[in-house]
Amino acid sequence: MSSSTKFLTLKTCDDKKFVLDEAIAVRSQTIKNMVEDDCVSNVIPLPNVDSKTMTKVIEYWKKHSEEGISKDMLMDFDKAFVKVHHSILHALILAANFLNDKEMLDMMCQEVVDRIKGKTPEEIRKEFDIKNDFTPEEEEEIRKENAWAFE
Amino acid sequence: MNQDRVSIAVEGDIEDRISVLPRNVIDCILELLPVKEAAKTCTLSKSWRYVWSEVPKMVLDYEFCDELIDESESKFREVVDGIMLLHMGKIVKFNLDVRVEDLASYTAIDRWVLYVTRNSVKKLHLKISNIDDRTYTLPPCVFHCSTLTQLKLARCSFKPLVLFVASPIL
Repeated sequence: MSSSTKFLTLKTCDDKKFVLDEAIAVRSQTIKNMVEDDCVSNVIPLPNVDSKTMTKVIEYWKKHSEEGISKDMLMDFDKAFVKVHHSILHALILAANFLNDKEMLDMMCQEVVDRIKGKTPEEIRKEFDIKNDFTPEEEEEIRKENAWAFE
Repeated sequence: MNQDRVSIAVEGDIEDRISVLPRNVIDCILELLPVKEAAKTCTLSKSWRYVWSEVPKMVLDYEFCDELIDESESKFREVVDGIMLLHMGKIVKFNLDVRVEDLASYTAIDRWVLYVTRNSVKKLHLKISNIDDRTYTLPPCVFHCSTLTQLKLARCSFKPLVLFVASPIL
């Protein structure tokens, strides 16, 4: 690999283009594989990611690639980064999953976990707008299967 | 496969987005939750009914085991037996970190280890502490397990003669 900076152009599903330093873009294992397999021509299409989400992803990648940034600063950045509405968190999870950035995906999953932790099933349903489609009898039956978890 | 459902979910503002996440992501979320809280998700809705039972990694950490043992060791065995019984599909990773006193628990651990070796376990991590000096001895089935690739033991013993002979990829 050459030492000079190489740039990649990424195109999101809404046709917006992002020009990015290859060294940063390869945080995505998906993009890295494409680069290594020489599958990259001019533009890398990202059919599953929109520009709004990609802007956030790149913001994360750039921050995490900054030289000399302290662990504390990164932690503060991450904390603020995940404090977003469910819809954005969801889009970021799908993007991180598609781009195969394990570090980012784990951080997002941890945020979902933090939003679930300590809540009753009813509170979780409310938080995530999950519709309870069980009859009370069915729900009781399932609780019995794992009675220990509800004690 | 999930793509259509996912795009619909993103459009609305009060949609259930978490239930339509790709399965590997849901698995990741459930693995990060404490066991008890993960188990409770089966009552959320029909689409969550069997998700936890199918998570291929079973991590029974010290905190989880200790809380049950605090009640009684037989309770602990009963609960883990129940978890195994309700589990569906492969268990590629099995972690057990526990401190036991009863010999009956050793028999139970043998049973669980046998169960996971017959359900495609790849990574087996056991830390079995005890009050006395009775070290837990690994059952021979571990060394006949053709799927096992990683074995991490703490405070366990085993008969080394059979090691590497029967398990081709360990």
